[in-house]
Amino acid sequence: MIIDEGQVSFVRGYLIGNGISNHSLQDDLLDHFCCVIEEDMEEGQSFDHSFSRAVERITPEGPEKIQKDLNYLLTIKKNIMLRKLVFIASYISVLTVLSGLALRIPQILSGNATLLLIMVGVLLFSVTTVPYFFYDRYQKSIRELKSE
Amino acid sequence: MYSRELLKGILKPIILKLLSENDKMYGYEIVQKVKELSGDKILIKEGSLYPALHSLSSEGVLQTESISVGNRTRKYYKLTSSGSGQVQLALDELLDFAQTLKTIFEPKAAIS
Repeated sequence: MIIDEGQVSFVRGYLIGNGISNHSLQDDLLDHFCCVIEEDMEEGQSFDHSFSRAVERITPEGPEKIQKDLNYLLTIKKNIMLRKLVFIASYISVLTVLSGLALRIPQILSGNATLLLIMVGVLLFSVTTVPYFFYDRYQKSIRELKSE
Repeated sequence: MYSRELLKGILKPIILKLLSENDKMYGYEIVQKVKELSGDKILIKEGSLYPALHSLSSEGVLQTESISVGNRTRKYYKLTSSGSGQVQLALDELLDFAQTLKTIFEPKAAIS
């Protein structure tokens, strides 16, 4: 038994309406829902009853949880690498500024060299740590907005 | 039925093993096959299956092939050539792990 177009559209609407925006995942879940519903309907159940059972079985924590887990799995390595790079860049920029100041006091560095080191440190900090900080804050605010 | 925590680490090897024995499979088919092979002891949750399948695809281990079934798209997953090379390693590691668990948990024979 193959469920009809209207029923497939209903299931697709449920998935989209509950946060499944990834088209590839949408295709997977839609087919899975349809298989489970068809299996139930072959045993004489109605579409509504079969759909409710499929929701309980496939997405007990809501469809959006599956997409959230998928996004986490797909981005975790990249996010860890990005954080590592930002932390390293932040450390180098702070080290550069502090070295410039520390070596200036005993007159090891000239005024110009100290200024150059401080500028390099501030510049590195500005192009790595600062944008990442604001990007991270932006993502957090979006997440908070969506969870309201 | 085994707990979700126990199944977490063995899901990917199970997928690789099944796909090494079957040319291509779709999600529902994988769930049913595992259920059948394990005598209903291993019930793969869809919430774990699809993130794992997509993750393996993004790592280049699996590739997909889409066909139309009625009014919907069915995505079949199959091993890539690099994925095929990883199957034996994953299975060897899992079997070795199972053997180690057996050594730890099996009651030791009394020394006479």
